[in-house]
Amino acid sequence: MRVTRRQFLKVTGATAASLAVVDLGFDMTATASAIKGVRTRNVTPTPTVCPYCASGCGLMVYSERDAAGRFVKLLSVQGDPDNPINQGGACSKGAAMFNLREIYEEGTGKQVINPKRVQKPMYRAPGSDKWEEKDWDWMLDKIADRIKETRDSSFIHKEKIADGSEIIVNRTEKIASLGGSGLDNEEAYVLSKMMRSLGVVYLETQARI
Amino acid sequence: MTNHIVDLKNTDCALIMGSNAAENHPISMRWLLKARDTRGAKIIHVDPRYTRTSARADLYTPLRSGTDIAFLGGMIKYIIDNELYHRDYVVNYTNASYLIKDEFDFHDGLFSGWDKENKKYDVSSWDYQADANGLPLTDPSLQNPRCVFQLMKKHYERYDIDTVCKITGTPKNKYLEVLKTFCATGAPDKTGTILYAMGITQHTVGAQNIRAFAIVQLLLGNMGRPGGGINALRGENNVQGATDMALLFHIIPGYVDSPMNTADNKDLISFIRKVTPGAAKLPFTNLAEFRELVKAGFPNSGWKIHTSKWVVSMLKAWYGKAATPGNDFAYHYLPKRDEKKNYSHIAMFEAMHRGEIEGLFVNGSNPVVGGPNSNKEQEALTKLKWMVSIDLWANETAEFWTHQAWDRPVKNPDVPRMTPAEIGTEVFFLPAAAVYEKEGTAAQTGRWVQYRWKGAEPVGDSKSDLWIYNELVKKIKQKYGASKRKEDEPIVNMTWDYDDEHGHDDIMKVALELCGYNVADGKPVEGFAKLADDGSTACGCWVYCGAMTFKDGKNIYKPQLRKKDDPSGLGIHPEWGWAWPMNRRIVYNRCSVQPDGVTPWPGDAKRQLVKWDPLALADPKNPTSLGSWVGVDVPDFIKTTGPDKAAFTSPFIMRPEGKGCLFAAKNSLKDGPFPEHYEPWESPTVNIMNKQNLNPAVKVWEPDKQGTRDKYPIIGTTYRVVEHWQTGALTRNLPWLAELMPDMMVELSEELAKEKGIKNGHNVVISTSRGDVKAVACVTKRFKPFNINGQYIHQIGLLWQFGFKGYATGDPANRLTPHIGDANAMCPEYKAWLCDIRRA
Ligand code: SF4
Repeated sequence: MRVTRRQFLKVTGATAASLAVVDLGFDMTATASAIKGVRTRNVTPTPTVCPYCASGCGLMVYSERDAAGRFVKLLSVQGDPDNPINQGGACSKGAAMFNLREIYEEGTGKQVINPKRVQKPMYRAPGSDKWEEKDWDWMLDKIADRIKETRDSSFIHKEKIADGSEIIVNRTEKIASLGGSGLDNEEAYVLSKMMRSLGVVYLETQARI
Repeated sequence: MTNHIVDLKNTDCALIMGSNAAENHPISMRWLLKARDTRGAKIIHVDPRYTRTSARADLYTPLRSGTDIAFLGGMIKYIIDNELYHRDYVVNYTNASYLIKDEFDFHDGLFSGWDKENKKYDVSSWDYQADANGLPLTDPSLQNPRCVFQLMKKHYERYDIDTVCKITGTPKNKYLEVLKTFCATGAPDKTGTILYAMGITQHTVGAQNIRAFAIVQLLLGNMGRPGGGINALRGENNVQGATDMALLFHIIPGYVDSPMNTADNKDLISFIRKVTPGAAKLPFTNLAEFRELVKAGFPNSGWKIHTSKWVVSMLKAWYGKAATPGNDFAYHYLPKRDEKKNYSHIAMFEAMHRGEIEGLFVNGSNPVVGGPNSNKEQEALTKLKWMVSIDLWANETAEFWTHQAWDRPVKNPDVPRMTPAEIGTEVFFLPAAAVYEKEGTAAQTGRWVQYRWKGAEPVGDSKSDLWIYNELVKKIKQKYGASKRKEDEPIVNMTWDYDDEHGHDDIMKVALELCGYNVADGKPVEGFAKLADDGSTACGCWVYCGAMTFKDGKNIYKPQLRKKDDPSGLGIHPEWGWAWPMNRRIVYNRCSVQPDGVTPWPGDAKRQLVKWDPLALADPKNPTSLGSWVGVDVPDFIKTTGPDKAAFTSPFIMRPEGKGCLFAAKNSLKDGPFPEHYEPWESPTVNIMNKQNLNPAVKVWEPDKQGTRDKYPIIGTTYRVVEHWQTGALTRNLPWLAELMPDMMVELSEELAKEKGIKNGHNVVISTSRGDVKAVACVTKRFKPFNINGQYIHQIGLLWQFGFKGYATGDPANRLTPHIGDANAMCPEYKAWLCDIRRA
């Protein structure tokens, strides 16, 4: 099913202007029946959870798969009717999740990857005014070097404390880490473990602000 | 949230303060409307601005930004004066009856123990009177003048309705109506919920605002019951989970204080002594002795008596074989922060601005738009040697070095302008996969942990964050090789085994470590009560223990459960996902039944969640031990605590006293055991409640940047709209949403617009001592000038979701906001500051 920009604006824009936004008036059941129409073959619904506000609305990602089950293309993202939190509804943000990956090109209406998504690792040299594309291995290798240089040159292993004794403190105050509230739990967990094992104490996430 | 989103349908009355729920958490509003439709619930909205939430409320009243404690202090007084509190609940489940030390006092806006020189409190007088065994003395009649109830009554005597309304600017009749409506939930058969968001937390008194909620809800008997609770509507989809994993400097996973460079943190035993309530003076020198003490139980400890098991299991998960009983389970590997330093967001950027930080990781974050005083934060980034940004888009922070990033609407000599050539920061941008291009779990605002399956492939070369961290750590480990340096041990010995047999990161391996496994056989630990501090269990974050279970020969990750049944009809859905802790959907649920453990609150049998069943088997393997807590929700209580134990009526098991705290004893908070009204740092008026203008325990980072009323007479605040999310990176890059809400705007009253000659749609400039932004004026009736103690004062509101990248662009409102934060949580005061506005 192709939701054009106009159609989207009509549905969610209208709800935003009226009271219906609080009723989650972008009633996904209407579009769900439309989805059935395109469910001719190999349409896979996959449950996910909205990445925006923390209400935790369930969403269904409908994609086309080939015979081997491999992802071919995104069809739409809809409220998950089974999820007890939202029972199929979604606000304008949840309803726009398709755009997180793909958009319909202005003019041609062609379905393309959202051009704002960055598809390659990029590097900006000191003083430069542009990005350069790099491969993953180069990037991760350089980052690991920077971490090691900074950590090793600033690491405080032991420290004399108020009572005159010495204790092991294993920290660096020259590396900081910010963010992570958009990560999955498993990712946030390994980030926390990695940073602490590096000795990072400037460790903060959006919960603070 | 102490409760959860679906539970809102069970309420009799909702007080929404500092949140525009209808706009920013639309689904929560749906459940409130259901409560109204099905049980006649009332919805109250208190906010400086009339919003979409107000439009759906039964009752709306304005208050000036930053005066919530005055508003709620008046409510506390009203409840006490009119005896509207739920007496049985208050006497049995709160510390109302506890006697407080004679030295505790309050004068001129200062609590006892104020240390003027060091600008902090000595909290030793904020404590209970104790008997010879160290147990608090109480007076259940609540008459003793030193009991918490009487002290509280005295403290809030000053918060009479007239004084409150002079401070808040709330019309008196409306205020009275709010008091009457919400305080009616003190009746034993009624419950009321409080919903809040950043309008409450982003103040120099943010934590005390929430404390005031706690006092109100405890007095009305609304905690631990369906339709009740204090419910934070959190902003980021997994900010709860990121907090659980301790991506915060002051804790390690599972809400244990992070270690510091002090004698009482020097080794594992000292640390356990320090972080376990009630352990300070106990005789033990090693874990074996401590274990015996824990087994016997000791007073003033609560559930945190088990902290050693959580800490040792975490160390075991992180350092595996290198964590042994002989080396303190590698406790010394953990970084010890400097006790004298603060490492929170504002402090981090202050240090960065001074050139003290070399490298920064930005993990899906955007401080150039979202950080307070973002002109300064952007300048701080130029002083880094290197920065790594991991995101879907090259957002404003990733591109802080571009020409565009330094465009400003006004030439202001106080605001930095730079060119790329002047900026030496090396920037690495790593493209991340979007939420449905990978898999994993997220904890929503009601602590429900739900699985998100992968529905599409990552675009181009983008990768899941798990892949990125996994590969990066493998590289780092390679670089350190088999280094024998002591300081490299935490890296060399850190367990890092997340690859499957094909060398791909395996989320289930991470999940198992996070939720905990038995070291001997690798099987999941079935709940945190089974964690040990002898190295036999490993668990990354104890509050998630129990989310992984072993059944029919395989591991089941409970967040993947998708059974939507709701046997109780209360919206508990016990087999939909999993909620921490232990799948408990409403915490403190012991409070949903009378002190006898059996009888529901009069007239409220339907909302009873748990009960004591003297005939139930506590342990199916031991048929001789009878008596257990049972119910439609997982009891938030030690199952076997029967009426013979004193703790039988202590529902708040994470507190050492087991009671809900009307008085926050000892070091619970830095700025006082009772919330007290102080003005925001930048305030248009003086404090008429006491002699301190600003919360005295707050750190002032930039005294020279304090805007004053003569130059900046208008109160400024910030907020969001439904179409955009946080800094807008995830919405202004989406054409559909960008078109729905394309412009940076400022909302102002018709009265102010007239004074300033501004018309709807005009371009205007808003300025503070920290910078200027341009916006489109939206002249509305939704803001009204306030009458503050006889003065006529305006407030305006700006969207904070714009920046120079994406399909919809505009100036970040945070170029205006101050670098000052709450005394406890250091949450920036985004919501109340002084500014001026003029036509562009
Ligand atoms: S769909 Fe809307 S209400 Fe639901 S989680 Fe997403 S942003 Fe929040």
